[in-house]
Amino acid sequence: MKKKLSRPGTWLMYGVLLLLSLIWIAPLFTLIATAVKTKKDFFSGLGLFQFPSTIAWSNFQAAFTTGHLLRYMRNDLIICCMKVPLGILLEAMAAFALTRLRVRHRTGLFIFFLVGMMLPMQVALVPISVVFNKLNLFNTYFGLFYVYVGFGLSFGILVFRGFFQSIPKEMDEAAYIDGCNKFQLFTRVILPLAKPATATLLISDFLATWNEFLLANVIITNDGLKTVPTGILTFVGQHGTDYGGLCAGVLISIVPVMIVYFVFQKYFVAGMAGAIKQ
Amino acid sequence: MENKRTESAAILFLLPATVIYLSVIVFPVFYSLYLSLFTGSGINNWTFCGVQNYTALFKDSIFLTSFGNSVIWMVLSLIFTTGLSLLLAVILNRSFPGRTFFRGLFYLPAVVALIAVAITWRWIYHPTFGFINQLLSAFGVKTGQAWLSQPQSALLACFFAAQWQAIGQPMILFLAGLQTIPNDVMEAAVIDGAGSFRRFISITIPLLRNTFVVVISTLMMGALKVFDIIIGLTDGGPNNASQVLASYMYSQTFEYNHWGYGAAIACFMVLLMAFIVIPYVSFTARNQEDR
Amino acid sequence: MSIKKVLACVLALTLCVSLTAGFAETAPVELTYWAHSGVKTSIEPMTEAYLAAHPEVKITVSYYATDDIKPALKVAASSDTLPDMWFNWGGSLAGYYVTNGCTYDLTQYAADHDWRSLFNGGALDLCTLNGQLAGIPTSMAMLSMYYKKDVFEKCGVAVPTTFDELEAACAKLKENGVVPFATAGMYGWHLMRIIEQLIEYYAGPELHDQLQNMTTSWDCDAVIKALTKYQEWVHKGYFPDGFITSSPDDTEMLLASGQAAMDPEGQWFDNTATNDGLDISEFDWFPFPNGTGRISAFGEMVQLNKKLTPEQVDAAVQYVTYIFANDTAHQLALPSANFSYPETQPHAEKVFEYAKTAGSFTITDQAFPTEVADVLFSQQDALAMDSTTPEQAAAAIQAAVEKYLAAK
Repeated sequence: MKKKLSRPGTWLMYGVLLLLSLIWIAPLFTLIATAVKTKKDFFSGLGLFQFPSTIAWSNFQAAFTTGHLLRYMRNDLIICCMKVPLGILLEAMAAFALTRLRVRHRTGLFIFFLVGMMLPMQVALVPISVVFNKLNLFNTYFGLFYVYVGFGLSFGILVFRGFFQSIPKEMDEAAYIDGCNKFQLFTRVILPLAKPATATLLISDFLATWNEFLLANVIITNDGLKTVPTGILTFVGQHGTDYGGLCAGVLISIVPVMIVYFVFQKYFVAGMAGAIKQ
Repeated sequence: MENKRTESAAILFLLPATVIYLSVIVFPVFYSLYLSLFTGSGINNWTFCGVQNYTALFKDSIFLTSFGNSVIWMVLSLIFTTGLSLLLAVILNRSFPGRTFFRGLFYLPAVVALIAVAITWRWIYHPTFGFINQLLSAFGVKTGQAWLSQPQSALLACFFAAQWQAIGQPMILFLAGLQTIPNDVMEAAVIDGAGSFRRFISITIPLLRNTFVVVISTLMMGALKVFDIIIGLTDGGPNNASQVLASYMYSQTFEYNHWGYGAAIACFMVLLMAFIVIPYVSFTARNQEDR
Repeated sequence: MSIKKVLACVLALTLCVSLTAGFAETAPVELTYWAHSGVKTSIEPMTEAYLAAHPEVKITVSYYATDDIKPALKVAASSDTLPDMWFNWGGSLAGYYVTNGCTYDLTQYAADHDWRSLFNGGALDLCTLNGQLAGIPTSMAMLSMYYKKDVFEKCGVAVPTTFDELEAACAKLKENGVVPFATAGMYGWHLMRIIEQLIEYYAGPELHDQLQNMTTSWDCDAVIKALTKYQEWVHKGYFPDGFITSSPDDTEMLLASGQAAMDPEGQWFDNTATNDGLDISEFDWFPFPNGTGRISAFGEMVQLNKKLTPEQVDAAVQYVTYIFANDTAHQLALPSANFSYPETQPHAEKVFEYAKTAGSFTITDQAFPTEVADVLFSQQDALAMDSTTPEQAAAAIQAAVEKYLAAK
């Protein structure tokens, strides 16, 4: 493997990366600067983009005490850990059927599943509330999972389908020759090869569920069961927002998702590609 | 050639997803469609009006503005978001020290709660103590430009703020997609002067076809559903200049209590997305079958 | 055993059971309450204390922020899942639930329990909508202009008592590089607090009330004059740069740093400013010199679900009056008849005293249904951008009023 790089090409590439990084970091910088300011710092004429002289750890403390962030994070974690794997499994199964098995009107069915992404979530609020009321599903995590899985299906099927299509049919044939049945083809061949897709969805889905607010707000009314976005909104008062507390809360809530991201992004490594021949 | 029979294994694999999907997605869609045929601003005091809501839409200047803005957003996403996230994915696919840090940096904004994104960018755009104007004045350009308050720039300002967050997801999709390309092909496509760039265009991009379908579909549908960033930065203002379909639908439904009219906007959105995405997907699927 | 004996035993048993049932523990009265998250830090501990002291009641509180409680309530109303009691602002917001038959009419209850002597009369009036007492009044806001004393001193400006003095003060502030009004236009309502005062000035009390009730046309001289004056002030730079999309949350920063001089706020100002670490002795207030002396006011209430049983209503009233009567620390306290503000909120007390005799008008964005208010807000924007004239703006507002009334 030779790596032939011309100097100007590499420098240009890294230059672009650096420039973009600076632009991308600026708002983060503001976020962090805000999280460590006390309320007084905002009114003392200190620039919004400057750090104060003393770091206000009290904001972070407040996130946990008044914001009850630990409780909300724990709830969110429970929901995510149960919903994400289940959703991914169902999506992979459906995508497998649409790409690997004989299905009448497979494209039409795929498009049918895509409609879920076209629907603005607000539209579903009233009908779901009506049904949940009749079935007594308010304030149940089961109800929430069900709806979350439903809304996640479209994107998951889209991603898996795209990925499965890149896996050549020769792999299937080889597996059948080895004596695999359809189910084993799915679990022993296709799924393992789709690790990058699974990793992508694990990250995306976890994130989407973690920050999801609209449905959680309507379905869960019991404060003890609420999720992270609710906790953050505690800092938005009626006549003003506690910016410091809000940003501190946001920074804390980022941590679990970033952990998931860093754990799974290692699957985005060229090396998996060796197994797949074009 | 479509297959004639659906095999039983397929039904088993599709069943759980289909059941959940029918109840969570399909039912609300039909409910919305039904609702859009009625008018009335209370609860259960609706009167049937057929397609009147839909015809009224096209005489509604705010609706037309929202429609136009949503289309603009969609086109911009196709060009800018796709391009930038692909560029980043390609760069971050190469191994170099610190790669993981940069991968984290560009994805991190996607994780930040939207309310914090809105506040941060509102401050960046602020005419007097905003970051942009302060930076410009440091370079001697004195401007009190109110980025969010000018009708011409309000939507664009929202768009660029949204990109800060929006790049992350397509970037990781492209990163995943790049994994399907064998190493030697990738090595050959490394940016290496003009010649390599050409190879990149003619080899790598076609190999990413499937990922493109995913990214483009997602971006187009996402563009029409943009809501939180607009509300957080301009609330649809000034004077509805940055209103988009989703925010207008929200106002009509939840603020003015025009449930039927709001539902009509929502159905219009779904139809619009369907009109754009379905041909795109069918086209690429057909090409796929022919391989 | 003969049948008679069996019957006798059964009867005796039934009698015993029914007697003891009377002495058995009655199940606690259960209530669900959707509160505004802005007061969570006060309500939570007080609720805990209240429930500990009152085991016969079980109240579950959920907290919602401003922009979430509105759609959540609408969705709940449409799906018949409203809680037992919920927070709401007065005017058209609470009125929606009254019109759609979701609320418990407290008029009779209020009469039976002599609420006129328990509550401030103004608060009760603000909560009377469509002929119904739509909720338990929990606060009453009164708006006036707050300013920083040292800014006025530095610019040599005296507190204005007439409209002309106000204009002169603005000019002087502007000369000294201070923005006169710290207003923010993003949601429209903050800026509206100035505009409605201009309308009060040019229209006078009777006409203004009629305008708010939509019983007379907005396409009239007084409104056009008010909007012209507003546009004039925009041109003179009396509002901050980029104010039409700046957020009301950011105005306090402008006021505290001395970049802007005056901010129309309610009497919560003392409390909010103190919480934000400011020294309220540096600030003072004056009523907007609109010629009539009336102030803009709005109410907030806890609405009760129509389906409540009388026991639940009693429990709800008891709980709400307890909580808000003891909540002086956080927000506007119970507008009770004998109420006075604590010493830590001196300005609030003075505003409250002033309001007792000065009279008030309902704040415009509550008097108006949201769709009409939104047209007013977009005209505010358009006038500031010079993309419309006061005459056209007034006509546009009237058109929206007519459209709304026609659809009813």
